Amino acid sequence: MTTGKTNRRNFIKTSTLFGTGLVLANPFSITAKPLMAADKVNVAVVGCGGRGGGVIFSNIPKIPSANLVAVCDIVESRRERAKDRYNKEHNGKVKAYENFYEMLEKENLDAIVLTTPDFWHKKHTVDALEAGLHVYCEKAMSNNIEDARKMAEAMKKSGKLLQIGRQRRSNDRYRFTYNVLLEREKMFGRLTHAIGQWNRSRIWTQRPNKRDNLDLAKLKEYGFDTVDQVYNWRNYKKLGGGVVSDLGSHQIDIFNWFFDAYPHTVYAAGNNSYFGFEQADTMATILEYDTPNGPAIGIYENISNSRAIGVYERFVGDDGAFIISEGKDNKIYRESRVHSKKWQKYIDKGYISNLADMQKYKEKESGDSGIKETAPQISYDINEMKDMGKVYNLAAHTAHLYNFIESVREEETLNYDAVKSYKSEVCIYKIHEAINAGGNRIRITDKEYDI
Amino acid sequence: MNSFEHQAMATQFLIRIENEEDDYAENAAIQCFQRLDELEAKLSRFVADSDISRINKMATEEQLPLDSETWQVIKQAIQAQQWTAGTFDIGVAEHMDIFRATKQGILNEFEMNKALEKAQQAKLGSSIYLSPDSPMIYCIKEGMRFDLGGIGKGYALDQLALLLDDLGVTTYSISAGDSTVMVRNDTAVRPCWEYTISAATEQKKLKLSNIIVSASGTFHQGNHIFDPRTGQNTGISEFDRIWVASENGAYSDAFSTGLFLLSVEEIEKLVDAVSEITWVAYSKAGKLHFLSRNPLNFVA
Repeated sequence: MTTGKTNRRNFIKTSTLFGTGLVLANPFSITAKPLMAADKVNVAVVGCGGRGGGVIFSNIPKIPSANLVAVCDIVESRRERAKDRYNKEHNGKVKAYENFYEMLEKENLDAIVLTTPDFWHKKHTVDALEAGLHVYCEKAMSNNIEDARKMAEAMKKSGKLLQIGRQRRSNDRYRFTYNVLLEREKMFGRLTHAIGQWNRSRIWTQRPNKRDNLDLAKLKEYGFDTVDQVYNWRNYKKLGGGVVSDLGSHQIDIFNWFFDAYPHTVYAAGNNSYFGFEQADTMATILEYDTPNGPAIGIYENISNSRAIGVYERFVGDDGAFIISEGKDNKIYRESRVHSKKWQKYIDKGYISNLADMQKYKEKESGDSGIKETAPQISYDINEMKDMGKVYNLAAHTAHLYNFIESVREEETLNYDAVKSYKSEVCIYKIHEAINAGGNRIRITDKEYDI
Repeated sequence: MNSFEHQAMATQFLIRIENEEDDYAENAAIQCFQRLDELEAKLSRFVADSDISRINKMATEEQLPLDSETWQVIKQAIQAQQWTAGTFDIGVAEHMDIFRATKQGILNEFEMNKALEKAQQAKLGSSIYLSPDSPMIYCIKEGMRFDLGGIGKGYALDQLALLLDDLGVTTYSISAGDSTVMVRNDTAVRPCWEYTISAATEQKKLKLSNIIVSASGTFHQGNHIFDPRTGQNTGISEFDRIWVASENGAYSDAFSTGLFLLSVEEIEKLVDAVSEITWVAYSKAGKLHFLSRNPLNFVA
């Protein structure tokens, strides 16, 4: 949708215009696909912390069919700030609630977005689904496999939608890589390895702002024993899932997706030796797969005291390899044994470009531009995401929520429902189990993936 | 005084916070760094999923909703472009890529010059419309790509100031790779922050208070300077380095680049006409010179 084409040409105000193709006095019009007010999905966001702020201020305003009507948070200053800022920036009438159930009762909601700590996900999700609402829940589904299963079962039973927030599933580049390069073109041959890393320089811990108004007795009603647990819940085993859930599950989910398989065996170890929090700050895992194309290995590690090398997933195949990420690391490499002419068709189709997209400026073919300094190794970039059924052209978090909202409107189907997410999360809980056992090898049967 | 460092936007950010508890200062710095990473993810053209990357891939007659930050910074970039009559211009990403490809050995010099001509022709024939009323951008005619390298760091400092204000932190300095420095001070805590600027044969100590200063002098391509008006690196500057002070970081950053190609007379006119410029300093023939509407009471 969002790559909307222009149609009528009759608007202009005091415009800001780059370039010289049009003059200001020459009016033109560009209108987005109009949506009727009645066609909007009434949404509430539960949790106004970091991720909740992203949903409220960055994602929802870009989705024409989403109508934010309420926010909910147990910290008064957080929910009031979110409400005030949104209403000011968007001329809104958003209300703020402390109590989730009071909000459900008083507001005419179609859907809720949960950006709360993992341990709250199951209860709010199941209750909302049973109340007839659709739910978008941030990953991980929960901090234990039983609750995750109950969420997926509740979705099936209620017939309502439950999308889990692994936004790479709606990232155009990841979807293009899977749908076009891997599935249709089989560009890399058989995938044999997936390697993923998430490197960060520290585990970010936060303290309340001076102006936060906190009542410990109230926090305890909501399952928090200390103020620190509210702000840094990811570090506590009873509240969150630790680095494997928070970070690793995004990337291991991509292994599962691109391999078209789930691991039958996991080896995992980790510890909290660097920061000393309850949860492991360092972990590594090896995952064994039987993919439709043959056996494959996944190798994943998480480092929390150095951001060098960054965050990426790398896949290795018979004919080539690629690095993909939500950041700066996105490159495709051809194996020398595959002749360049074999990949020329991908360039001709506009899928990939080589030489940093500078080929168009070269006088002759690569390697014949005169004798000069050593040129860099040839790699390819994804150029255009062509031949896709749908290109969102939105940041992945926005695209994923957009997909959910449009699915509520029955214009799309979910890219990543709770059953799909549950299957992908099973191995995450097994990795937890292996780490908590001090390092272990665990077999996973096919039956364990079933819902 | 607490100091914290962070790598973002291809440079090193240094935050110094005064008059806060150690833990609270660290917490504030951490939130600033997270905000910086968030802004980089939206504004860097090297991040495939950023707003700017998506703008740079827009085809003719496509439209795109933007994050409010992207919308704000592009509006400010357009304003700076208009004030400088084009010596500051964010629509030069293709040119920058051509220079980079030449340095990497992908293009030879002959190919580079031809490529720059083509890139400039495409840019001049293109039109991108930014709605003044809502965060939407429209590609009327493709052919131009954005690079916020000359304004993004300054804009980021403006955003950090808002965040620190929200956290109740009043006295701090933030340096973005030394090329843009923001100082804020509750005068009861600290009367000013001291910085030095240098020319070849002299240096001056500055007593800065609640201001952002950006420096430029490193935009050289060999012996020449890239001039967005021609699309070639044929520009010539009178200055070895230039400093621009403003209460707005986006503008101090943009002007430090844009003024570099102007004459002293042209800069004097801008300083008189544009209230967003608090003062300008430049080094020329080894000496430092200042231009300001107000008394130079910040020079020690």
